[in-house]
Amino acid sequence: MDKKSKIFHTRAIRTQNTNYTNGQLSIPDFLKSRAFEIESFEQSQLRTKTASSTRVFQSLPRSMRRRTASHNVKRIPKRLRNRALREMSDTNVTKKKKINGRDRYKLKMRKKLMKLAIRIRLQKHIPELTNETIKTKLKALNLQLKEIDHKKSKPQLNNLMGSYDISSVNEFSSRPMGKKYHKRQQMFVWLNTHVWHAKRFHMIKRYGYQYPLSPTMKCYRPMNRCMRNHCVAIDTSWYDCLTFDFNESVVKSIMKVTNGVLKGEKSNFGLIYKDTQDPTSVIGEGLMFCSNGKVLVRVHPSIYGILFNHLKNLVEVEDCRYALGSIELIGPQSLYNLNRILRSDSPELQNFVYNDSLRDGTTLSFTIKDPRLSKLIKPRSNIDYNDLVISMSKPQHSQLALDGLLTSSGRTESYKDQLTTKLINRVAENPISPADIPVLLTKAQGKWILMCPWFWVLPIFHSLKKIPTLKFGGESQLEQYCFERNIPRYPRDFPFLSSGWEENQLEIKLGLLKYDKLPKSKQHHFDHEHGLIPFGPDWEFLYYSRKYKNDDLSSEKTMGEFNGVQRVIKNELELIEYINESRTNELCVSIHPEPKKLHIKPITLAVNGKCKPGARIYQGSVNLFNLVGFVTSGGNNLLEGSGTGIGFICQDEGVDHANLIIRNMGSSNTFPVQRVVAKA
Amino acid sequence: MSVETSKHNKVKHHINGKHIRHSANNRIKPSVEVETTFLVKSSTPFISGVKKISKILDKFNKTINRTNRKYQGGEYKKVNYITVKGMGKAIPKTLSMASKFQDEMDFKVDILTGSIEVLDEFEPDETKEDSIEDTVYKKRKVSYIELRIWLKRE
Repeated sequence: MDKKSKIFHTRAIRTQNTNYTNGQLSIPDFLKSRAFEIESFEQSQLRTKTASSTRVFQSLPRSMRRRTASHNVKRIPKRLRNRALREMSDTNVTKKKKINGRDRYKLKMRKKLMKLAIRIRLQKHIPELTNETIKTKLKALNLQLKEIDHKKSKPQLNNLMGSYDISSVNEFSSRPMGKKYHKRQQMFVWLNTHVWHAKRFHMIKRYGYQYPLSPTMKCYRPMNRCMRNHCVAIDTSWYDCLTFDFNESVVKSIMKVTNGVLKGEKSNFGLIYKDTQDPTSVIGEGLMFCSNGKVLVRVHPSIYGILFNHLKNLVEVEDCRYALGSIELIGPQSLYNLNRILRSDSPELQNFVYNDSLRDGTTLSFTIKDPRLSKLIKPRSNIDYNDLVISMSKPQHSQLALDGLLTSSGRTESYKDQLTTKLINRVAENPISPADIPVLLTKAQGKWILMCPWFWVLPIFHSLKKIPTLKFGGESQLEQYCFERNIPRYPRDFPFLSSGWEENQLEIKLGLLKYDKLPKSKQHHFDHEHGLIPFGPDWEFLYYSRKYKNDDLSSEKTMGEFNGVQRVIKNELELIEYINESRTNELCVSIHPEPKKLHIKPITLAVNGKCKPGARIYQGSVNLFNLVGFVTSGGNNLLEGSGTGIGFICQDEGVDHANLIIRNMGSSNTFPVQRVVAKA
Repeated sequence: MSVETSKHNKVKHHINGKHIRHSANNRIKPSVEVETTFLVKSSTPFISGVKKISKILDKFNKTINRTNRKYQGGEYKKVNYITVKGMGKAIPKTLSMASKFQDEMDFKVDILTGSIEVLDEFEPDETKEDSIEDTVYKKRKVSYIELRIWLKRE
């Protein structure tokens, strides 16, 4: 073969006969020649379909997926369990048997018992006992133990659940023991719903409680939608309650209340003072309800101790922190959903099947039966909505419910024969007539607060779980709710109170810790912060810079004493230096004119951009001396469709709502404020 | 539906107190009804409203919404028209929306009229001395208009 033809042949690609006869394609011949390829192609497609590597639970919606579903079939819905079992049996993985916690515990116990046995054998006999048979020995020991136990005053139980009322007069009551896992609850009290929440939520340990922060699943937008259209429920039993006998002067001294509140027609949510005459004596925010000769106060746990100790000197106060629990419900279907699970004696509630547009302060009290015994119903009503709203303005309070809720004996009575979950499941129609559970339902800040005896929170919570459209939230959801409706959230948006100040300082501390943990290359440079603390609102800086600006207009100013000599400040840099040296980390802002404090006022603002918590507010231009305030909570507001924030600006002369500019922490970008809503 | 009060609707005799208007939209609706109803407020801009309604109509249109089959079956199969409601001050705006859909966009539009009862609440301001002592409730009738914009279904 010559070279030319050799090259030609090497380049030619060998193909099958093209079945062309006289330039026409013979289809039967063509198919015959390709039959093998087509068949194998089809087969491989079928094979890949059956041999898919996906597991059955991967087809489930996110909310139904469980962490352990890959090896525990019980985590998969029943209709998919058979397939899951098949999938699990297909895998040829042989498991090594690991020693788990229980085995380890058993081994440890065995060791301890062995030691004990040796000790007893060495002592030859158990001291204080001369009887011979083991049975009698045990009997005597039991008697001894009983005597010791009797000396300790144990709560008298009237139910199998182990529920009892934990309250005490004029002293802080002991913490609940917990029905299981006592040791883990010694420092931080668990809520009744702890076990359910711990599996699905990020938990937080604060204020002596361990409570849910937010769901582990991403939920910012769904929660917004749910709060707008349906209902979100949050276990807020970690809010603290106290009760005392009605005393008009005491009530008026701690809260500014109207006659309607004193008469018990409605509840009041507002600021709590040590003395209402002195506006600087504000402690914090709280809910108050007076009726039936009793006053109920519900506050944030950060100020509970202060309030309790203050009231102790005025009246006899009952600590109900662990005696009363509460569930907060947000959304237009809150009452409707409660109606679906609670069989109440309140005609008002029974008729409530509509969206609710009732006013804050509307309060209902009624008794319910154990909600676990009844099924979910669809409530119906024939009463005109407007008539219902009118009737709700002065609802009839149930004497039985108020007595039951606000007295220790009443709460104890409500626990009588409380059924365990096991018993409820075992007995379809229970012969025991269940006790009346006293419930108080009140509206504050647009949310419904359901208050009931501490150990009835869990059964009500379990029943709420049956409602498919209802979602559960934690503290973050409460914060989101307040932020989106421009409601200041306690304690975060109250920097002029000590608890708000502490929260602010804590945030700065946490920010610094987080920053220090980052590798050097990832750490931001805060050049444009000009001496401001870059992890939160720096009120102290604002205080000194305003003081410097207002004091004098000459170029050289003296501020404070330094090493016994009046210090002369000539420029910005010296001012920053001076501020950094004179920081005391003490509360230096107030909403009332006070000496040695910066006078600030709250504002709500909307920007066409990002507005993060801690953002700096300037007036005019971004300049150290034009700093007028800080944003305490902000973000992208889904209700407004833009960035909004709640903040405070100083009340100096020349500072107003015009030409405000926002700069976020650690950023040089600025956004002009579009709209300012002044708040009282 | 938001409660709109024009000047002639205000309660005539003088009541001192904060006027709280209760919404006429007080029924919990099934999800299908929520998705097929648009409520025109006095603050709704005309074009925004038209766009919103068109979006709902497009959802049911097979040729436009090809990916989501949700609106072709089940409960949605029974839906024949989209409801648009406006009351009080928003009635003229709602009517011009009707003519927009009927004349320019070639939809079949039914127009229905009616009136609905709303509730006014007058809350006493306790800081003022001449204010009323108790909360006063007043019922009031407001007229409304309802459009039915029929879907174009093959």
